[in-house]
Amino acid sequence: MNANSQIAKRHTKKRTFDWFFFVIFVILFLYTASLLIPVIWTFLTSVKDNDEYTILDNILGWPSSWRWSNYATAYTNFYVPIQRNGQTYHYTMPYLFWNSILYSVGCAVAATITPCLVAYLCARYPFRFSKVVYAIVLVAMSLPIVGSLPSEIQMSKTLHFFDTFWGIWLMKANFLGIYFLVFYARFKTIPAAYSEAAKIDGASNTRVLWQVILPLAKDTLFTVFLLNFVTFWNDYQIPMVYLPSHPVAAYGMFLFQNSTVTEISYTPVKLAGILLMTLPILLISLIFSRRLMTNINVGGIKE
Amino acid sequence: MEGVRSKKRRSSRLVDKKDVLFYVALMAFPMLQFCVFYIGVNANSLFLAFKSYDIYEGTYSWVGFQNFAHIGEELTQSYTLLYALKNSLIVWVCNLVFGTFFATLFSYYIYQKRFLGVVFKFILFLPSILPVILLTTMFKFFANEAIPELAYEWTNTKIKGLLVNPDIRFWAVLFYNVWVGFGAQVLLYSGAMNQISPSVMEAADLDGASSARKFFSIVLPSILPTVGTFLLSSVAGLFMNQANLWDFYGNAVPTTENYTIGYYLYWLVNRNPSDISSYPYAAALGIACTFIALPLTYAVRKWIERWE
Repeated sequence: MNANSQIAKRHTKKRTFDWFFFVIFVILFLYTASLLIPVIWTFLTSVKDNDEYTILDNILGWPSSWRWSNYATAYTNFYVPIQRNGQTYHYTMPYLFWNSILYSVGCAVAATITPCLVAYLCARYPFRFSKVVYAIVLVAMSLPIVGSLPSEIQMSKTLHFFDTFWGIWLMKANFLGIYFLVFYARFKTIPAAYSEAAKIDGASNTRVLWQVILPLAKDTLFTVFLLNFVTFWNDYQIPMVYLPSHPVAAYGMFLFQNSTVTEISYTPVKLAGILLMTLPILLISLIFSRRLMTNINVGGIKE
Repeated sequence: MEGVRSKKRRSSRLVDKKDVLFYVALMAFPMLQFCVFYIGVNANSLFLAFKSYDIYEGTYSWVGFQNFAHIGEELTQSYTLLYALKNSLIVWVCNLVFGTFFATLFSYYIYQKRFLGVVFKFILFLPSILPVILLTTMFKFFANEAIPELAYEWTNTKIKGLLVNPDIRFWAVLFYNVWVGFGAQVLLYSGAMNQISPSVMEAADLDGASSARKFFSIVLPSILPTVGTFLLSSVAGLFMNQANLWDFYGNAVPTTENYTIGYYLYWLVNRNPSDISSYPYAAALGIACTFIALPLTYAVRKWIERWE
C-alpha cells in the first residue's frame, strides 16, 4: 500500500465518522427502541396466560407458556352490538372487515378520483374558472374552520346520506386539500404535446384523459389512493358518527379495548384482539411500504 | 384564403365547444359537492350558532347571541373552556417545537443516507400507517401496567399508571402525541431536502463544512418554506386537535381540566349520539374558535412570507 492510498484511506475514515451524525444516530436509536419495545411487550403479553399476568404478576417477563388460544378467544368475542328495531345484533369480525372494505375502498376512490379530475381540468384547461377553483383550494386549505361537525351531520340527515355507504362516499368526494395540489403539479409536468398529438389523431377529450393522461399519472394516482385507503381503514370516528348501523373494524377495536365483558376483560386477550385486527392493514402497509413512503413535496425549497 | 380562415375559425370554435362541454361535465359534480358540503355546511353552521334546540318540541328556534353568551359564561364560571384553550395551546407548542426539531434532525440523517437510514425511515413512518387505536391501546397498557412494574423492579417504589395518575395524566397524553407525531413530518422534510441541489452540498464539502454547519447553514434555511407550510397547517388545526383523548378515554376523560378544544367540540356532539341539543352551542363554539384562529393563521402566514 503506497503513501497516497494510506492518506486517502485515513481521509475517508475521518469523513465517515461524524460526531453530529453519531449524536443523531443515538437519538434515533433510542427513539425507535422506544417505539419497538411497547410493540414487543404487547406481542409477548398477548400470548401470556391470564392468571400468569394478573395473579402471578408476570407483567414484564417471558411467557411461561405460549397461549395462542388468547387469539381464538379474542376472535370469538370480538363483536359490535348494534340496536336496530328494538333488537340487538352482534356484528362479528368478518362483517366488520367487510364494512371496513366498503367504507375505506369507496371513500378512498371518491377522495382520490375527485381531486384528480378537478386538478386535471385546472391544469390543462386554461379557463378563467380553473383559476377560481385553484384559488378556492388554496383559501380553503388555510381557513381554520372549526366545529362544522353538527352542521355536517344535520346536512347528511337532511339529504338522507346518513348511515348509508353511498352517502359517506359522496361526502368524501371533495376536491379540497393537499392531494389536489399533488395532482395539479403532476399534470403540469406532463408535456401538452402528448394530448395535442392524440387530438390531432382524432381522439376525444375523454379518450385523451383515459388513454394518455391517466396512464402517465397512474403512479401518483395509486400512491394517493393507498394513502387515502390506509387513512380511512384506520379511522373509526367518522364511521362511528355517520355509519352507526354499519360498524367498521377500527370502531370494533375501539369498543373492544374498552369492553368490560368477562372473557375479554384481561389485558392479554385485549391485546391479542387488537393485534389480530391490525394484521390486514399491517400486511398491506408492508407490501406497499415503498409506495406509501414516497416523498411528498409541499411548500418547495428556498433557492 | 378567407374561406380557409373562416373554416379554421369554425373548427376551432367547434373544438372549444367540445372542450367546454367536457369541462362542464367533469366539473359539475365536484362543484355541486363543494357547494353542498363546504359552503352549505358552513352556512348552516353559522345559522345553527344562533339557534337553540327544544328537546321536548323537537324544534329549533332563533335565540340571537345566547350561545355566544353561554361561551362567555363558561369561560368565567366553569373554566372548562379556559382549560381546553390552555391545553390546546400546550399540545400545539410541544408538537411544533419538539416535533419539528427532531423531525428535521432525523430527516437530515435519512437524507444523507447514513447508517440504517432506510430502516429508521420505515420505523418512523409506522405510527402513521398503523391504526391509532392499536397505538393508543399499546401505549395505554404499557404506561398503566408495564411502567409501574418496571419502576417497582428498578427502584422498589410503587407508582400509579401514567394515564390514571391525575397529576401526570395530561403530560402522558402530551408525550404520546409528540412521540408518535414524527412520521409525516420526516417524510415531508426529507422530501424537501432531496430537492436541494447536490452541487450546493458538494461545494460545502469542498469548503470543509462540517455536517452540523451544513445542516444549520444550508439544509435548514433551504427547507424553511416546507417548515412554514407545516406550521401554517398546524395553526389551522390548532382547535381541531383532540390530542387522542377520545382514543384513550372515549367520552369519559376523568376531568375537564384535561380537555382540549378539539376534544370538547367532539365530545359535545358525540357524548350521546341521540342528543342533538348541544349542536347549536358546539356550532357557536366552533365559530368563536374560527374567529380566534383566523387572524392567527394570517399572522403566521405573513411571518412565513418574510422567510421566503
